[in-house]
Amino acid sequence: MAPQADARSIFVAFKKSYDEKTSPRLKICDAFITFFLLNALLLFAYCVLVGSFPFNAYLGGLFANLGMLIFTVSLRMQAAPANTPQFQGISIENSFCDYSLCAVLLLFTSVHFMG
Amino acid sequence: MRTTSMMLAVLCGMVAMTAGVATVYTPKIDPKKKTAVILANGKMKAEYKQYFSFLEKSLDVEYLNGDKKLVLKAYEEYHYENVIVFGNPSGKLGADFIDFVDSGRNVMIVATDEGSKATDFLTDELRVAAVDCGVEFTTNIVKDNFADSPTVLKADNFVKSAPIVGSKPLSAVTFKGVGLKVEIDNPLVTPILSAGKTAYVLEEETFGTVYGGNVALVAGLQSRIGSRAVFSGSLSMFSDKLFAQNGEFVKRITLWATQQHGILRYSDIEAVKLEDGQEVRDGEMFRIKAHIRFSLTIEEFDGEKGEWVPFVTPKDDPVQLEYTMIDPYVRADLTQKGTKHTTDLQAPDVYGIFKFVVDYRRTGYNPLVIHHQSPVRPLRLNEYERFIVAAYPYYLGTFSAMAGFILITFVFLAQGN
Repeated sequence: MAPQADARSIFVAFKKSYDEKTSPRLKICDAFITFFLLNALLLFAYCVLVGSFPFNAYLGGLFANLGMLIFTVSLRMQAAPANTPQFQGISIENSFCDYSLCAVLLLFTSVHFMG
Repeated sequence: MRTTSMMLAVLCGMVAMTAGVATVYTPKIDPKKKTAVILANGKMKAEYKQYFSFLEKSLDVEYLNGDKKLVLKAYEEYHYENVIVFGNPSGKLGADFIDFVDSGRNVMIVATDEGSKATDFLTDELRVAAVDCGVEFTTNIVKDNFADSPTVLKADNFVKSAPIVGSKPLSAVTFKGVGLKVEIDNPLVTPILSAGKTAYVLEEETFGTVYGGNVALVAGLQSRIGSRAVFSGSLSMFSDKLFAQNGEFVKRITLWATQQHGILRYSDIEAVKLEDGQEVRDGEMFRIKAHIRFSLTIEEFDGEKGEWVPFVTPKDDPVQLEYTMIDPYVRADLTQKGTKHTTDLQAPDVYGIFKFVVDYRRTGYNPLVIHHQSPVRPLRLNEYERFIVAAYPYYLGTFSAMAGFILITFVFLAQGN
């Protein structure tokens, strides 16, 4: 029997492969990536609805979330076992340390920029 | 011994002399302004006694002959404060009246009212001086065929200006003489007394006949620095015979012409910051949207008392203030509180170098033009609004990103892998 190539079956196959193949660490990263993305979208929607009056507050919130999104993406890239040959010599703790340093700096700046 | 005692004596003498001089010598302070009255002929003093005695009450008068040259200044110092040319002088005066008025001093030119040709009424040099001031003397007498006598007018069209003619109504003035044509578009010249609707001056074609209210009988120039020039077409208006009718008018225009009436001055300009209605003097620059109280003192000179009295603005014509930076942002009326004229205003939401501008120009008064610079600064970085309610979702967004980061550290590191 030929495998049915409709959207639903692709989605189901993708989900099955994702659940089996990805390690829990990467799943955590993915969860937080979606969380930060949702946050950023919510802030954007609020700005569009109400207006950008304290524009600095809007930018502070938006960039905090987008920045954390990007850092978490790069953490996932370094944690993925498929990419280990690329990141020879950088242990997972090392990459997590870089991640937290960037995050602290970003959040510090964002809080001050908000005013 | 002898030389030292001699030297001592000389020294004592010098000290005594200086002490004596210091106690005896007092510089003469002359409050009466020096005035030159140029008479047409020697008989005038008898015919104009009342007018001259009025002049001498408040001015230091010097009577000069019209046939001699008039010297107004030497080495950039002026000899007189006022010059009254009383009647047509018999000779050439050769004085620069325009320069005299430009220096802040006053001129009054009165034409003779008897004669046949134009130069009998007023010489050409004085006509030219008057034209330079915006007033042209006509070459013929003013006539009115509806009056009791064709050449003797009873004029009561006075200019509506309290400093020039007073606030009480004046009786009609008996006038016989030449008329004046006042430049229409000159903002500095005004007719002080105009003829009635039925008067006219018949001129040769080149000069242009004037009719009715356009014939001015007495006109005045108020310069931008406060000096005045008054021109009158009739000498007999000032005479003793007509002093009963014309006395009040003639006295008033003389007081105006010699800067004893209608002179304003300002002082004590103050712009203070207001916080909750209280004046705060902390020496700091005004901020945008600050509340400011502006006040100044305007005084008017009272010639009779010889002192400065507070200036009272008419109720429907207050002094206006503009808060301007190239264009006025705020226009407000100054309300009078005692001697001070004051108002409260709010600085706009624009920063820069602003000016408080008071530009008060009224007929009869010298112009009061005040530019008081006042800079306005933007908000300091600790004066901005904080914890704005509309921005709470944004604050929440950032703190939730922070919470996410803390959560990820626990979960990621706890996860072995």
